[in-house]
Amino acid sequence: MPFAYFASRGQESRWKVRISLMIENQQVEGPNMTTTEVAMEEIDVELCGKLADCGGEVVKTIIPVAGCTVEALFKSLHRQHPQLGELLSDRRIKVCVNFSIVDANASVAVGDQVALFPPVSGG
Amino acid sequence: MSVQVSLATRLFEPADALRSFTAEIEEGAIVSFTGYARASGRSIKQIDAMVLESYRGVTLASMKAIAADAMERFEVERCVVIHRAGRIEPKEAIVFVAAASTHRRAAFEAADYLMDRLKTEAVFWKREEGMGDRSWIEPTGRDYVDAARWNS
Repeated sequence: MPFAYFASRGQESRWKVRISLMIENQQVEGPNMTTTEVAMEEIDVELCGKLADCGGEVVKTIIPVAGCTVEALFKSLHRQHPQLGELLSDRRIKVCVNFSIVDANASVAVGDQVALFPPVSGG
Repeated sequence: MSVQVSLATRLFEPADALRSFTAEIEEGAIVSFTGYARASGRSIKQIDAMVLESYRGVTLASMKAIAADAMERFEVERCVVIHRAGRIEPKEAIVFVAAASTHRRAAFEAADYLMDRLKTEAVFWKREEGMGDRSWIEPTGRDYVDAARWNS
């Protein structure tokens, strides 16, 4: 497991998360482990099409206040919404940020309009 | 050159759309196509309705991009695309496209192209509802083969 986290509600509706970062494939204990605090905030992610059947039209997830990549957003959704796990594994799912479809390296910031698109049906 | 693309959230009348498109004709050819909702579904034998979900401006933008590509690819002077979204009952029009060109071939091809790409790329999520069930549907293999004809 690349990292573990422990979360508690902080002030002003923000999440403060203590993240124990470890270098993957190295020992859990010892000098390779460092601890830091990252301010997190909850965002809404809209689910379109058949995704909404499993998760509802909107799910909440937490991302760093400084933002994260689409790839990190997916990991966050996987952790926090295991009921979506199989559907989210579909590599055809596209992420729409502020009304544009973006790739896995794109950034997601707090306040962005984020939606997950399953494969389109066409007209 | 003019392009009109719209997302209709209510019933529209294709005959009115065609009448409007042909009102001030200057080209030599107009080709139009209208798609209607069928009563028999792909997964559900007898459907009550087809539901097309769209996503804010993204669906309309995807339709506009397809129409713009058609205008660039074929020698057409005008085209119109109207697509329903929301709950559509059998026998209601889902889509209307029309293209106008000096000679017939470009108009035929543009209308064909518009429909092939709309069927596979327009940002809609479509489900059939009926007989107490609902089923999401995706483009068929045939739809993808049709759309691939334009890749060359």
